[in-house]
Amino acid sequence: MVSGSFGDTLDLLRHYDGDESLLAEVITRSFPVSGATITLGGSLPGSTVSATGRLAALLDEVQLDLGEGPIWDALKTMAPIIVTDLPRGAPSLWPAFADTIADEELGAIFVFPMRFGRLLIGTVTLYSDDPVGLFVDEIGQMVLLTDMVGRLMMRASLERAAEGGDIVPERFSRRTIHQAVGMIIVQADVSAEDAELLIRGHAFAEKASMHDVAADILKRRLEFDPVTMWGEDR
Amino acid sequence: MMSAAEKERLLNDAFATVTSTLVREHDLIEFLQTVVELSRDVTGSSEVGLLLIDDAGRLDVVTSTRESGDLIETMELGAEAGPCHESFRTGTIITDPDIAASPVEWARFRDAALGLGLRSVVSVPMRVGDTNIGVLSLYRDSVVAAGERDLRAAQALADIATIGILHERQARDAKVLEQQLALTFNRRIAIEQAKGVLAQLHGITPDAAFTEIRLYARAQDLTLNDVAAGLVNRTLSF
Repeated sequence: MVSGSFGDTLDLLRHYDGDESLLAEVITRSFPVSGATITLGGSLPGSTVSATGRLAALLDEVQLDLGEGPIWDALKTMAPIIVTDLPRGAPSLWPAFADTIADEELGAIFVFPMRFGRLLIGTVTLYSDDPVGLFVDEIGQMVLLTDMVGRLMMRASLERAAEGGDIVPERFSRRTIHQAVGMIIVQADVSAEDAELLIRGHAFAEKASMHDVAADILKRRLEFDPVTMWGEDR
Repeated sequence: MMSAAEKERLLNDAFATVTSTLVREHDLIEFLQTVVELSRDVTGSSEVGLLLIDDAGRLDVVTSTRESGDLIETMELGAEAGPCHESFRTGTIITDPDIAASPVEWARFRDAALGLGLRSVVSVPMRVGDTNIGVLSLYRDSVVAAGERDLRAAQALADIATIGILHERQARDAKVLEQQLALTFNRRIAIEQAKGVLAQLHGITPDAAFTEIRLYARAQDLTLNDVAAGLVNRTLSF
């Protein structure tokens, strides 16, 4: 639903000093979409910063877990990824992503790379329940808006890092996944990168999120074997 | 003597070469070397040198068509008192069509140049807005006034060299910034992973592990980041 003019949204962003986790909702106001997410990536550690709701948060989490999907393509190509008919387009582009979100009501997705100067720092995603397109001027508006969001995100991330905390709001934090990675480093006697891969692989095989797998590891309900490299319930 | 058409073709080739070097991932010195060599060929010069201002405000020879001590010294004398210095100071093209007839204050440069058989020179400023960052100097072994076309070609080549230098500086600044950012943000991740490592080793919770990490860092006079990195890459254990 479009409920505000683009100019109003720009004005709001220009003077925004509120909670950055609410920004996704601000963005959706001037576009005919169902929801939005703001995601860090590129030069910043991959994580959601703001999502309009459950489905938005899930869209991000699935892509962060799988390392596949339009967000990754937007980061790689540094160009907007526009998919107007997701059920038809996704399976050939991103098979694992398409498979994981098959039961969700999703029609279209638009992902815009977010920059700060020459640095690539993440993406802004818009999605719609129904297959829809964006007009050329709307794509232009989104590019402009993503740029402003990028500046806000950079400022917020640096402030949070300076305070010594996580750089994203607590509810999107991937902190527990990092802790679980640490435990797997010891359990399976592997590097941090490999430990993360083991968790990712296990989540994919079990059709669970990495957050869920991490929770099981932290509660010591799941342990990885150094020989089989596989997680066993205890 | 090269024909005008042949010079034109050479100049076009030169631009194609330097611009393609520019857009590829490149080594700056290699790029500037290409520029001086093309400048020599395109303008029919004997020797070409490119000088840049350093942090101390001195003009240094960065590349030249020949790695010869005499030549480099001559160019540096010209940068102290000579056409090169004058071009840098005024931001304009300085021509010295007969080095033997140079002003007396350029005597040291004059003698050195004549000793190498260099008889005329054109110095072209490398400008960024109102700031000069260096000079491109083109020497010939004959007494000759440079033509309008050669002067324009030399200025265009100096401008390309300038763009290349700015391009490289920007890319370098961005890279440094990117590394600093990655360091800042990845530290947080390493600390979380380190909590997990110690939680597993000691059979405790991540929160309890964090307390131990802090105590250990303080006792050993290490930073939290160092202790975390050591735990994660398994070079440290306690």
